Amino acid sequence: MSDRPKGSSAVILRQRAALFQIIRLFFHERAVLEVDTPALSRYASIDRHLDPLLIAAGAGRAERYLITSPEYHMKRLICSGSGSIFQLCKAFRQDECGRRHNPEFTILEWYRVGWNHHRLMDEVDELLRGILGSSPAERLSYREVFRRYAGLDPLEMTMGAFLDCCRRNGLSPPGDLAESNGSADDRLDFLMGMVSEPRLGLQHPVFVYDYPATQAALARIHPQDPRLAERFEVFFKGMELGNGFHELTDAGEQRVRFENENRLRERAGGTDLPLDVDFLSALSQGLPDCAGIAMGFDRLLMLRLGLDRIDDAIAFSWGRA
Amino acid sequence: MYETNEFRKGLRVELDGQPYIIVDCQFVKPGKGQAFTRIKLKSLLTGNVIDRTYKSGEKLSKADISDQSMQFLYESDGTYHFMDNNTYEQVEMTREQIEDSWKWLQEQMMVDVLVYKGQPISITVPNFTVLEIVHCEPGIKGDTATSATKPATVSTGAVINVPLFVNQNERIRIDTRTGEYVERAKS
Repeated sequence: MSDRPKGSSAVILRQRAALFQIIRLFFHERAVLEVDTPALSRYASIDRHLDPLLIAAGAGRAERYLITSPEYHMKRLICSGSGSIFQLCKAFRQDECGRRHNPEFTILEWYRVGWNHHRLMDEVDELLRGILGSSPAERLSYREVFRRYAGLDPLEMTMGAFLDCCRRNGLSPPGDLAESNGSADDRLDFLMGMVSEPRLGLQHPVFVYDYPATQAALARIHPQDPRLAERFEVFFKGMELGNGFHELTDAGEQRVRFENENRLRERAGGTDLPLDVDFLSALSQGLPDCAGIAMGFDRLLMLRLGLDRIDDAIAFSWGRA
Repeated sequence: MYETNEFRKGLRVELDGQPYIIVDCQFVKPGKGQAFTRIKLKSLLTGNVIDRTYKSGEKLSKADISDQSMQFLYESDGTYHFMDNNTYEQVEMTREQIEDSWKWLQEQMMVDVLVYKGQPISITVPNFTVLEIVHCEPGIKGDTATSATKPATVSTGAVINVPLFVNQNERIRIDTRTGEYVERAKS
């Protein structure tokens, strides 16, 4: 067939299968247990910028969400004593479609019990070296990344400094970003995505750690500096590959964060989501100290094979699924 | 209105009171952060390309634009006249407006006219056309192997590069998108 895109060629299918195997072997050798958790859930992850797909089962039947990541279920397993676990599964995010995004994609997610996020970064680095042949990763704090690439301090960014940085980089700030009542985190995300990310990890992978506490998501707040969170992301060749946390274990704080995320969702014109009471109840029983990360499997394959488009790394991309 | 998730290459939108076509579209989302859509837009009036970024959920208006199939009638004093064969409505355009398309226009040729708020703003000619060579150096018989070319003037006045073996008064097929010679037309 002449119209068959690269992605479904036999070569890519074999490479995809090989990468699954390599990853499974990596965790098997380290005695990390493979698990599988539901794709359809009564509750969705509550995140200001993630929109889950809702499955309407029909009149009188309860609705279910397709997971945006398996994080809550996996942490519930850890609460019940699973120990360190990993999973390769599908996740779904509404409207995330582009050169590096497919609304249905494959996640590699794993948790290490008794580890903090820095120890987990070491393991991520080992995995990357194994599957991408990369040289040892560099670690940069979120502040250092902004100082280096945007020329400003993200924790004390004034509107003037933001607009200046946009001008220097030939960018026009969209929406309400240039307005004083716009979100400071949106401004940081804009500079991260447009200015810094394309320059991150051009030689070797880069871990960006100590995110602002306002973007903590499910990470603990830094014990020495409450302006920071124990969250990190990993980048290689100008592309984000994964997001990790030293996991928040405090059920009370988790509930407050859910409510805050829901407020932000409503303010942005979105819908609020029901609180996952099972997850909160598991947390209140006690989540062991752990660190976890979610990585984009399809993007790992893109880098391993030198593909520019996620469509070429999966058998049937969104437009053909 | 088009929302950011509908943005794609080829979409025609209105921005600052001007019609644009999206020529590049990129989805940018830093990790768990706010999503943006970065697009490159080409002005359908001036051809200028600009770069804009939108927050997910922002909207752009649809450009009040339509494609009309029209017949080229004639040119006089740098003004080109076209007619809609269904309504007999006639429009005229300047040489600047039709850009390089003058090179391929022949009387009675059907073209696509882009109409913005009732005004014609540009035309697209068929991808391939056949024109007669009105002047070129004599052909070198049998020279079909080398890639050397020579200039040839076609009936519209345009000059294009043709292989050495092609002769004056021959009709040739041209790709109007690149302005390149394709082959001798089978008369």
